[in-house]
Amino acid sequence: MDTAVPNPNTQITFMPEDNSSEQQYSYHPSLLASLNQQLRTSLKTPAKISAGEWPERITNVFSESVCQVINDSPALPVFQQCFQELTGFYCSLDIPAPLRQRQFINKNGLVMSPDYAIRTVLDSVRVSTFWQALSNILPQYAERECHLVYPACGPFAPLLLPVLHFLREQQQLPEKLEVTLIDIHPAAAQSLQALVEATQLDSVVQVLCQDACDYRAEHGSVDILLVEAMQHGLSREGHLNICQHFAPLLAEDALLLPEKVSVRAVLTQAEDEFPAEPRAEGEKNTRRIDIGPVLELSRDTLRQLDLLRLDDGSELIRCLQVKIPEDLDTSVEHILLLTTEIQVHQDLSLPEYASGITHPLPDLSVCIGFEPRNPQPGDLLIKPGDSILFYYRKQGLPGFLPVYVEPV
Amino acid sequence: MKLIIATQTSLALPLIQDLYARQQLAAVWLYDVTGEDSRQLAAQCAMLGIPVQYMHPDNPQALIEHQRDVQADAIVSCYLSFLFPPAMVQALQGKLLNIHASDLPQWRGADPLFWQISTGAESSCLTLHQIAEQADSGDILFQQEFAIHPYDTHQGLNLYLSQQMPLFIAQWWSSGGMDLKPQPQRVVQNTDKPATRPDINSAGINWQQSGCLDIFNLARACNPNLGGAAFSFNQEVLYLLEATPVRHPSYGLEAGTIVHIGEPEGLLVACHDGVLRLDVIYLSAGIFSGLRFAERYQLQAGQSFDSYPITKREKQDGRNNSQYNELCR
Repeated sequence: MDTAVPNPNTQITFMPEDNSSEQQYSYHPSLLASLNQQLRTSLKTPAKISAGEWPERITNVFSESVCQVINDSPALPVFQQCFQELTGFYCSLDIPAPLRQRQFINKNGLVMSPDYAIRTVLDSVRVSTFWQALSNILPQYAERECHLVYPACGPFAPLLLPVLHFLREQQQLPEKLEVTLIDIHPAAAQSLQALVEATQLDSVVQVLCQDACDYRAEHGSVDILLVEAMQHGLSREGHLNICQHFAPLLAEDALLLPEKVSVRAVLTQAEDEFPAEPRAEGEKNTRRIDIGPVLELSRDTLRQLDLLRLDDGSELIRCLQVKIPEDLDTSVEHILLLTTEIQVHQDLSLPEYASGITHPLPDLSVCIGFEPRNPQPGDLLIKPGDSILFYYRKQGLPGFLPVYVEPV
Repeated sequence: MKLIIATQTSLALPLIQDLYARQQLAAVWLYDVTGEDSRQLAAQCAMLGIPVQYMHPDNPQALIEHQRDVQADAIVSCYLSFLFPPAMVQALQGKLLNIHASDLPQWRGADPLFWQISTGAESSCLTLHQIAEQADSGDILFQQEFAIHPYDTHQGLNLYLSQQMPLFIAQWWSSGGMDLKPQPQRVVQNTDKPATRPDINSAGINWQQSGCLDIFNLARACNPNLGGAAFSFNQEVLYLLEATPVRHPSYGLEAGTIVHIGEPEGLLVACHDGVLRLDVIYLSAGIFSGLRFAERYQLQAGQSFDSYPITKREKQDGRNNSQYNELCR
């Protein structure tokens, strides 16, 4: 049996192999320097700052940002400042450009380049909601052991590290807290390790460089699973795969953050949902037709997922069935939208459009009551009264796959 | 023996120079001397003092008389798109010959090399045949096989054959030349395909229908004459000059989806039967390695390339819109 919780206080652990070495990129040093400078310029990072100054700058911006969020006064400039400091720090690490820019799709989904992933910090509503949730949750573990795992956390682990620093400053960080940050990308892991050291959280946090779905631990050894690895419509990244992998590792009373991800199917006209002129704040598309839930992902449903293994080795999850209304007006073209709402913890949630990951995802392969002008392989032609069953594709680019259901 | 070489490109120059050196060249007939290449060929002939006759489709009689005047045993056309008028074919029957780069009757038409490379042929042959009224249908005088290297491009193979042409004609001549008995072409079968000049459809990549090797071969066939095999991204047309099928899992991704961007693997794209590395891409901004193109223009793994001519529905979902994608992650 593998070790349950690896020891903190250790250096970054690369598994299964360390391929982060700068040596493998035989670029001329001047070219590497120029590429790194280009990143600094494009990210408008702070002027040259000595290595010794970064820990104080990072801890300061963490403290100020989390403090403002907890005091219910978060503003976009807070996150912009946080982003600027973090990217300045990231640039100062001089991680070779070829490593920083590497991006790929693996068996569990899309792995973004760290250069791209760093921008998560700018999704202020998403970040602040998780900060609020975690700053409420973690002090409750003051008297007990707690192993928090944050897989696919990216180069900054932005939903957690600022909160850990803030709580320690407030002397509210649980003594028996152990944190495992996991990211498959060597450049992200390098950045994480440097950030953990700069914030002196290395006694609490360990960094693993591996595919989150290859993580091994004892049954019940994870008390809090913090995972946010998705794009809109629970698509592209490995969120569901990661949750499913960790399900047997969760302790009896473990928390899954976010607690619930709800995806629903909605019919609407494209121009109603995506008007040419931006909508006024709070204004909604009132002409949507909600046709039902597609998937609710929570700790409870995670254990009941209906997994199908196909002959080619790929896996699908059978989700829910919805019916197109009999009386749908087919004189106009309706598109299928997958809407997402995320309940982070208790009453803290990310409603539609609040965050990039809760924007609706149109599925233009579904043509309801009309023939596509430019038919494509994979188009699903259905009519009012038909039913659609959704499957979730786990391999490659994860996402929902609607399938026509023959009437019984 | 004295031959007239009828051509329109300097690819015929090695043959012209060889025959000239052997004193077996009666004259050169030139057609469509409008481009830089054919003008240089004309200048070369003039420099060597080779008699040149310009070909006009509406004046075949001038050519017939010229052939008689220079006492040529035969006219050999190579790299020529000129269609000899029926009257001329009749008048010069048996003396009007053509070199065609395929095993006739397979790949009759203007560009047999394009089609043979794009279908992954590993060998072919040069065929010397009599010109008949129907293009590339005349009796065969002499054939010689040649290999097609998997990395040959259209122009690379053209240049190679251009260099082989003197030897090919010399061997024909030493085998009996005009005394050889012409052999009728075999009966055309359903498997014999035409070799029409490639158009926008034949030079475009269809990600849904083409496999890795198909695209690998198409890129070679379009390199460099057609600028590369065309495909598109965000309505922008790109041209693939070189690609390599690689061993890499495609995870059932839709064909055209970017699987990987990064060192050392490069820019990898899913096809329906595997994964293809896009090695060299030409676009209006220049010629880039696939990886450098992807990095410079900030492509993301998971985005998709489109077929050309563009067949995908308008992208209302903003799938390839980087700003929208950034917003939605």
